[in-house]
Amino acid sequence: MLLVQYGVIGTTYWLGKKISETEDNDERKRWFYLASAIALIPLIFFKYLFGLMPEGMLDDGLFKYIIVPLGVSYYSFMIIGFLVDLYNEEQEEVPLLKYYAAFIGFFPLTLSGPIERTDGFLKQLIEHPKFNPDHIKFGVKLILWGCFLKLVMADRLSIYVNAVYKNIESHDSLTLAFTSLLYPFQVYGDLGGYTLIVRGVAKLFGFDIVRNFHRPFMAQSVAGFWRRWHMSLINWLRDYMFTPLAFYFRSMGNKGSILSLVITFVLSGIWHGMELKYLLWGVFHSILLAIELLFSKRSFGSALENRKKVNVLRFIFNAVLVYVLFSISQVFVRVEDLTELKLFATRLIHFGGLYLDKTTLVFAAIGIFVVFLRDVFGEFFTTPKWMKSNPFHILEFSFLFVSILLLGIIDDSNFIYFQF
Amino acid sequence: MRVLLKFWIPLIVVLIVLDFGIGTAMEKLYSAQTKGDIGKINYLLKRSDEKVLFMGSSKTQNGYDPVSFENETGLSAYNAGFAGKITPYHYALLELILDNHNPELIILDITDKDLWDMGMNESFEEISSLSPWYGSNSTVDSLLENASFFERFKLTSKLYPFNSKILLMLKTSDNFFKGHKRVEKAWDSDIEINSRRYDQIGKKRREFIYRFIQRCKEERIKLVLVISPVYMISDGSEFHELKKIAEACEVPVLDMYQEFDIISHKEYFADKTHLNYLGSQIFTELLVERIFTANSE
Repeated sequence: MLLVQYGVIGTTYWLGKKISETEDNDERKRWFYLASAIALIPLIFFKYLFGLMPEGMLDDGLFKYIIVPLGVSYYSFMIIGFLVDLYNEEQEEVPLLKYYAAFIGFFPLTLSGPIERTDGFLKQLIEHPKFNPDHIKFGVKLILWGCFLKLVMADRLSIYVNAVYKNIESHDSLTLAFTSLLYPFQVYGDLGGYTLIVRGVAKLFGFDIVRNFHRPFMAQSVAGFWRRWHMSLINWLRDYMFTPLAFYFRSMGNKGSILSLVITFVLSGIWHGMELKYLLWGVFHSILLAIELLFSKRSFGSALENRKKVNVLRFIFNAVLVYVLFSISQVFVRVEDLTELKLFATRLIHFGGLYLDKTTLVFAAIGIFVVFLRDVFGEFFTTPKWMKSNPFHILEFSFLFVSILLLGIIDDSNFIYFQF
Repeated sequence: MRVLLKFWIPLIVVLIVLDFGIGTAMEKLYSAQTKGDIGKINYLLKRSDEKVLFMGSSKTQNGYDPVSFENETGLSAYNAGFAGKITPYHYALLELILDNHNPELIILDITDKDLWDMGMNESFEEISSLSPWYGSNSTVDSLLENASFFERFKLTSKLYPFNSKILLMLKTSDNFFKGHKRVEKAWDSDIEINSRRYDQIGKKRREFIYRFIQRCKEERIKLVLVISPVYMISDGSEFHELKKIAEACEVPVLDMYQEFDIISHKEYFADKTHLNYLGSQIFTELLVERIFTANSE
């Protein structure tokens, strides 16, 4: 697994040097394409070609000895980002190999991101952050919140959500709709929690890792939502895919923007996996964004920036609408395949009672409430001075510690995004 | 140094105090519970003195009626079945029960999940529901510590054994009668062929059947293994291994899996695998007949 990563790091580093050293534009372009292609080989080979192989083939012959390298989707994107920045001369020179290798292979980032950038983490690696005892405090705080999101909220919700999705044929409309509404919170807790843990671990070493979530369920538009959800991936796609495409199609006006959006989100769907359900997810989101772009006066969710002008009811309505739309899109991702999606749709028209697992839902509700309260507070209030004091931090750490021990699912469960 | 004195040392002290303080309060709340699964465990491990115990999973909890058994035999009985549990749990529970009293007869209901993997992992984290009893029996302590990789570290906390149990500790009612869950609803679907897949052996859980038998022998407790009925058609081949184990250990096994008098009545079942209250009464009477006929022979 690591050999693949080391191989790609070594090769792309050497090719990166070539891009940096070559002055002839055509030659630079050739080196750039070659390096990008090499960076994409593990991703295409392990993630997509494997996915396209007939069922059962992977269990036979040499294939059964091949392990899909973890985090290949993440570090491939980081490498390509580095190469693009180098090619565009936004990254002026190739750093020492040790910095480049640490940038791509930093252990907390390898598994599920966030996708870091050259002007962020790489710059910090080269500059060597100085030890500051406050980094440890802030790092532990992030780790504790990450564990809370993952263990108290996401893993608790997963008990209910998995039970329903395992047995779709036995459930009716109310349960399926309710489960669909819960699932985004599970993913938020899972990937959001993971990201906080990663940021916390990095902070212990003095590094600031890019945020991946920014109170996503407070978003006022679908576009605004995508500026708050899985931000490192979406920003990457915006900078390295959408913007160049929009520039390319600029003569087409709005149609060009929509086309760029569709291509970006379809590719974002495919990034999750080579399955039709992910493609549908991408199409669904690009349609939502296109509608928003065409019909909303405050295009791309600028309502958020003008929030002071929006009344509370309007804010809640917008936030709920975006949440429901996102919940619907997540059904495409959560089902196993299109057959299950069809079954899900069929069961939606069967009206029946709500399946209740009281213990699970009560514990999950506590987790959701705390996270929601934290997000609402962060959205509308500035942190008062007393909340930055040591006694408050002791109270906060203690609350998280006790909650995790009493309410968390403390087993060996995995993270959802490890599969991507 | 200043951060250490002003933040980290006070934090560690507060965490230790909270862990100990809330942990102790939880312990008291847990011990005082008389309802639900915790009430049942408290009774079994502190006050039970019944001569006969039914042990097993939800099939036992729903399907064995101690009142019918007592009426038929005159022997006091208690249903020690717990939903979702398999042999490692039954073994750990037996160890803890033996610290309180030795029953004369144990009827252990074995399900397919006690013999086959069936998608459940082999780490037996379910044993951790007995973690409030950590420290009271060395065998159980060792099982708890090995339930998962980090369990030993987690158990250093006084709070952790009560993880996810707060609602159960606050439960104020249940429908247990001498540990038996009386389910009234009746199944109304037609009988099906058992379509479960038995392709992966539950090696460790089979080992615990041996350990359970061995422990009963050491304590001179009579043990009867029972395969209770399900509302499904099966050739019963999934239980061949159990019969081999029983034969090797010289323990009687009663195969009532496809008992015609039971499975010909869907009104005896609450669902495909669980008997309802009516079914449990009929089944228990039949079980008594089988056990005592077998013994008299």
